[in-house]
Amino acid sequence: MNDAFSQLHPAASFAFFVAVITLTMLYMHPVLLIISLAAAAGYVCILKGARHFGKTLIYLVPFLIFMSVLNALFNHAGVTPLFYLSNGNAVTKEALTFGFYASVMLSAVILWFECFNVVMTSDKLLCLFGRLSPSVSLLLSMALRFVPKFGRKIRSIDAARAQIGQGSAQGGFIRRVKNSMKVLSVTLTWALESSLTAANSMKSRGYGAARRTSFSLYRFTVRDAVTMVLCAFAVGVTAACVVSGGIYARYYPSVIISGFGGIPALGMAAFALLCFLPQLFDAKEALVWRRLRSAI
Amino acid sequence: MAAFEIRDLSFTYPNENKPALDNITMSIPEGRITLICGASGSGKSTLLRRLKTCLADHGKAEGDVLFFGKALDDIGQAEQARRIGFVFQHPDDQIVTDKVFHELAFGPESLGWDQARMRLAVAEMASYFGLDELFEKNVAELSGGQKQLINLASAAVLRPDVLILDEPTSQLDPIAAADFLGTLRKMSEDLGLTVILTEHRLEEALPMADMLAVLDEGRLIAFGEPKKTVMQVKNSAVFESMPAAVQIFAAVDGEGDAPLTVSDARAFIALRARTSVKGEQPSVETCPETAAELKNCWFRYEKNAPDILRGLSLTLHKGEIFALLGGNGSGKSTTAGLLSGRLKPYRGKVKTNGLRVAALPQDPRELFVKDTVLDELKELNPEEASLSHVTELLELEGVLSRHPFDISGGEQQRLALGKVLLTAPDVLLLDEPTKGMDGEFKRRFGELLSRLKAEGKTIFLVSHDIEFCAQCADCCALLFRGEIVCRSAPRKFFSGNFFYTTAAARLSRGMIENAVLTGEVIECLKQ
Repeated sequence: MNDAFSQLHPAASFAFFVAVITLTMLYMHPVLLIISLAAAAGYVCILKGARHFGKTLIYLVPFLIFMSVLNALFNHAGVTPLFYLSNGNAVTKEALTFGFYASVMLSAVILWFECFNVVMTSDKLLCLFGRLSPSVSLLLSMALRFVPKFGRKIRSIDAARAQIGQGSAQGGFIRRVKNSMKVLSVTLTWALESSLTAANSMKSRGYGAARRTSFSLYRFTVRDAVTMVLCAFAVGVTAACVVSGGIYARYYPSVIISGFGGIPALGMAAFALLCFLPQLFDAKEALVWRRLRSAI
Repeated sequence: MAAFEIRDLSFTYPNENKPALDNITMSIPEGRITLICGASGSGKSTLLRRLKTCLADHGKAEGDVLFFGKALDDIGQAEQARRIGFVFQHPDDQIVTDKVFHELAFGPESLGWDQARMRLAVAEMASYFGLDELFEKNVAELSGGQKQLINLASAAVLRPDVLILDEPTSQLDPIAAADFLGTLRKMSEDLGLTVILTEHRLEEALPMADMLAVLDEGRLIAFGEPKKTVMQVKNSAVFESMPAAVQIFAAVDGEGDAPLTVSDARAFIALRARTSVKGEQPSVETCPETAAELKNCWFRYEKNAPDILRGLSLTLHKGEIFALLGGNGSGKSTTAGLLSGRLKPYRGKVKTNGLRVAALPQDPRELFVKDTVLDELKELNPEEASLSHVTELLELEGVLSRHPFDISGGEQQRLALGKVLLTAPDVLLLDEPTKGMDGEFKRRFGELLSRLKAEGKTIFLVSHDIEFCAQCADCCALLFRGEIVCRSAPRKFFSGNFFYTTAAARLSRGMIENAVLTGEVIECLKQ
């Protein structure tokens, strides 16, 4: 994966994901949802490969169908009955439509979060939180170190105790519970011991001796500023179109969805610009590379 | 100017009568490497920790410590943090954050440096230590040696005047340890950095030291240039940990400066050697009965991971001490895992003939759950007879009422071994049992293994410690890329090897044939 967009400053990437996910969840307009879903799917393909996306589809498509059907079965609002269930309740066109778009929205959000997980690594999140509070960032970083370390130590102690017949998988049920408790107790003692060294090592390197700052691997550049302005602009235009009533979607009691006039088209274009921003970045970069190569 | 001026320093721990440090006066020169050695419990660590206020233990202290002419206690915490770097013994415990770069930045962050200054300091350090590859890695992915290097780098990133290291290589394998000490020496030479170091592995550390201080029960018994100082401590307990070259020199009453390196010692031996052959080792009667056997075993940790063992075959005879040697990642611990039944080969067979096999963990503390040593032993077998047998065998009588975490490292190891023995195993598996032990402890541990052997136990030993294996094993084997490339009795094994052999064999090669132990070289020189 060589994705230009994920190399941006964490603040810019974070702003993008907040904007895109919020707008997707807020405005249930079919066109916006489909734009968002397509962009998210495309970005997942870039980040994790088409193959991975194919695997995601295996659970995403049944989920989409299941959600639409479920909503239609349990929600009977709407004015256009399609048929009646045996208990007399109507299955309506509106409920089916809403269920479908709601599941499109959820799928898009799931895919966006998948991208988020790849792009926003723990380092980037720490860098963001570090700006708010260096102590929170340190705390998170220490947790990220000590929790897996605990897990490894528990397994190692269990293996050691299994050698003297005291492992957590040896003996009857009561014996196993007792042995497991002992493994935990050793782990706790060990944790206290090793945290003494950690505390000394922190003190020795000046922890608490001065006001903390936070180290960051990332630099905020013009590119990041431009990205954030673009995001803000796209959000602004889309929101304006929605607020002015240009983009409008209603599902109950009857389905009314705004058409494609000048204003809605403007809003949709702005939203598409936002959603496809990562692809635009990559495309620009690919073009530059091609030009550079032909120059050689 | 002296980096540290220590005057009449005494220190007593709370509730103890005997002082841990007794009237120490010494002056640690600037820009030099000062090595402090002494047997376990001689007060090395206590002394080092008095050199940084925030680490000094609580207790009754007398005397003065001056840092570049100024009383240490009058220097602020932040200034001490910057100017005095400290590296601890356990590589893993002293790392605080999850990523290498964050660990490097920890000191600068704590002292509130701004971004530009931090960036430069961290970049400079990473480039000097060649950490580019590791920079964004998770610390959990690193080896012990790499971790300790990160610890050194994250102490050095604050640009200290003095670096203090408390047994930094005791948890590392010999190759990583030599790398670490090499880096330390380079730093000291490049930057004129003052280094204060305690070590028990003196074979490599002694030749690089400019000054040597020897502690014995809290007293400073010698201090000065290494090649002169070593001869002043001939009769103290720490002498057993000295390099083979020094021990041989002292034993044959050499005069003048002691040789510290292999090449110096060879020159000395060339002058003195009279006999040139050490007789063949009487071949040990091995019991033909097999205790355990690995037959053509293949093993890997994951389906798509590379093979660790490739068709390994190995026979353990009843009542022998078998030592398996080999580099990192050669599959030594994996072999022990197969024998213990913890791991299963995907091809090949493990036969233990119905014998009970038990392994001693590398960290003995993993077995401790009770408040006293006696309760620890009773946890497994409350029977009086076997209890008293084990306490006597392992010399644990003196510490039965102490807390398992308060006894010394060597005693902890014996206690853990006691717990394993109480489960009545026939075959004992020991993974790096001599890690972190000094010379005296090693000798006693070797004696203990012979006693166990006399009781009919079969012992399988995985180790990096060539000297220890040469001393106490009946059979040595070298593992390389998951296969055994050589297997024979220690004398034949080590005198046949060129690089992978004991210091004594390297010292005497070409002059005394067949000598692999320090004592043997001494014997030949004395004849």
